[in-house]
Amino acid sequence: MTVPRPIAIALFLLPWCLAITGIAWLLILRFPPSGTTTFDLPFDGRSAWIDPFLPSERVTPPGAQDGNWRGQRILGDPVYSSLRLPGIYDTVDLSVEFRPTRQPTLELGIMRGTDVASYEYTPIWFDALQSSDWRSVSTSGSHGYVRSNLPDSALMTADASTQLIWHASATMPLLTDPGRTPQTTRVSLRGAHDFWAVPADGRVSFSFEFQDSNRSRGSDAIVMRVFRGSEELRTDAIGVGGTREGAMGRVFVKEISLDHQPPGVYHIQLIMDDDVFIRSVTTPSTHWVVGPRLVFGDLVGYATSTPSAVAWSDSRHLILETFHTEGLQRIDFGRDSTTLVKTHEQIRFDRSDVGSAPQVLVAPKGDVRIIGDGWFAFTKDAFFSPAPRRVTDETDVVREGMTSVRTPYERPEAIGDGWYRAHVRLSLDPTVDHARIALSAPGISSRNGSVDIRRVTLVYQRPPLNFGEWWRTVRQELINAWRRLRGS
Amino acid sequence: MTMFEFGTRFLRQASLAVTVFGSVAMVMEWAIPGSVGPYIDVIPYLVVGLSGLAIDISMTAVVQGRSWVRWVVSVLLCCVVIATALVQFNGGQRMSLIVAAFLGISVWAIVMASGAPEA
Repeated sequence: MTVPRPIAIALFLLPWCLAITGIAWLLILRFPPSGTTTFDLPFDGRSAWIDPFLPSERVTPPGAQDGNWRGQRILGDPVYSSLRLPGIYDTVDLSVEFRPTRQPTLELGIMRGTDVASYEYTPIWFDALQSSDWRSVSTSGSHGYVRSNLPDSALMTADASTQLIWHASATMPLLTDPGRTPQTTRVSLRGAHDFWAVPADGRVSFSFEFQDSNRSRGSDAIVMRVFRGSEELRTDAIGVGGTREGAMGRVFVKEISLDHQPPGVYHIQLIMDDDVFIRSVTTPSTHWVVGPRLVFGDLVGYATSTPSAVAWSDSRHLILETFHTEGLQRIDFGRDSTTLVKTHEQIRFDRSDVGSAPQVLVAPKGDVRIIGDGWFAFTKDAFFSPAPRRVTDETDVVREGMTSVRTPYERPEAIGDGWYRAHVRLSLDPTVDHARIALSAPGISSRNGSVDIRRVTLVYQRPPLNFGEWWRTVRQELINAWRRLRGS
Repeated sequence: MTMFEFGTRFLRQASLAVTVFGSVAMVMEWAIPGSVGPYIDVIPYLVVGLSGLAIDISMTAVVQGRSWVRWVVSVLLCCVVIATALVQFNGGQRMSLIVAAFLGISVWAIVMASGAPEA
């Protein structure tokens, strides 16, 4: 039996056609002409495009779960995953199907840079705003939610005491006070702090008494930065202490001052480690506050008696911690109180009253670190709100008397049985092959809550391919490949 | 062209095409990790392609009367396929393609036993 030559040649070409088609298919998968690649994936740990969440002690193994569903259950905070990028893309639209249980807030973040602390978070769930008592508003370039019975303009309120912010910024109030002679407030604050002040007759001036306790080896540095809104106006830095000093350092004064400043809110940022104490603050400003971090330090080596640490605060939710047995004490905040019974343990402390008027906080022994969702003043008359308070997982918008929330948060789509679908758009770094993401569910373990994840949809996008785009993409792929070969 | 000639030449072209596809895919995956691996498993294509080339070489040697080449190639072929099967045991796709390679070896053995035309 013979095979005619033309038929034989055609059949010889067949495997080559299939091979070329296969290579072209792989290239089109990597460089789609439409500029879009979509993956619709069950979150059961079997996909090559998204890893299950870790660490394992904060999640259940991916796959079949109790309740006849497949996915993964989040039990701790935060948890991390990784996206394998299918090419060079500008953005990814990430849709996640989730079901929160006893978890009021959720945030999804993507890592920027190489520092594990530098995640850029986007809110995807806020229980309180699901109610029909709130409506979504976009006005004057801002987005958020207002009470249903209020006009859209309520979002632009200048009253910071009735507004919350969540991953948003508020309009800076243009405040100014008349001038006065500088007043000194004796304190014992430890480490980095942020001060917020209203200018007094155009003058922003803060004079601090610093003292290096030299409890840890090496010299220390103090960096002082002044901002008006996001604009940095002044930076100053000094070194303190010696590399071999072990005794308490001398108290010295450092001032930072700006004159002829326009009305507004000024942020004086002190960057220093916990070895440096602030012993007094002198300022002509009538209104000035500290926050969100307030650390009352001890007076060992400085004074023989310990005065009570007192501050006025509009915070609704505090985190308290002491690092010394001398700091174990009862702390009063308004009509509420709690007791620190253990060192190096964070205690959540929430106000039970209604509204957010400042209340007095008293720590008789000092020596306590306080992180609040509001601001702290050392006298009631000095208190003011430089900005709206931040949303936390303990926020109760009704009890706290809030009328508006500034946030880019969009309500997720309800898909039944307690499941929701949230959409987030994330920009991508074209130089990396993987994007690390994190899911933050604050307080989930203390609340015995959980977040179920069952499905993820990833839509990677870049402009449709033309010659320019094709060359840009191929060039970036070659650069990334060369970088990998060189091991950098 | 006789069926035998067609068969040997088709085997050569098919083996070359599969080997080239597997090699290009492997280079793509090496240069751009993740560009091929999540979609297909490259190793079986390389195994089958190289097995086919080895069969082609040994049959050509038979035709040309160089029997020592036949035995060397057959031993190398068996080592490659067995090593791949042992290392890459998991995966239904991989196993079925390796089974196909074994079938190819069997076909070759039958052809050898029946005696190929000599030069």
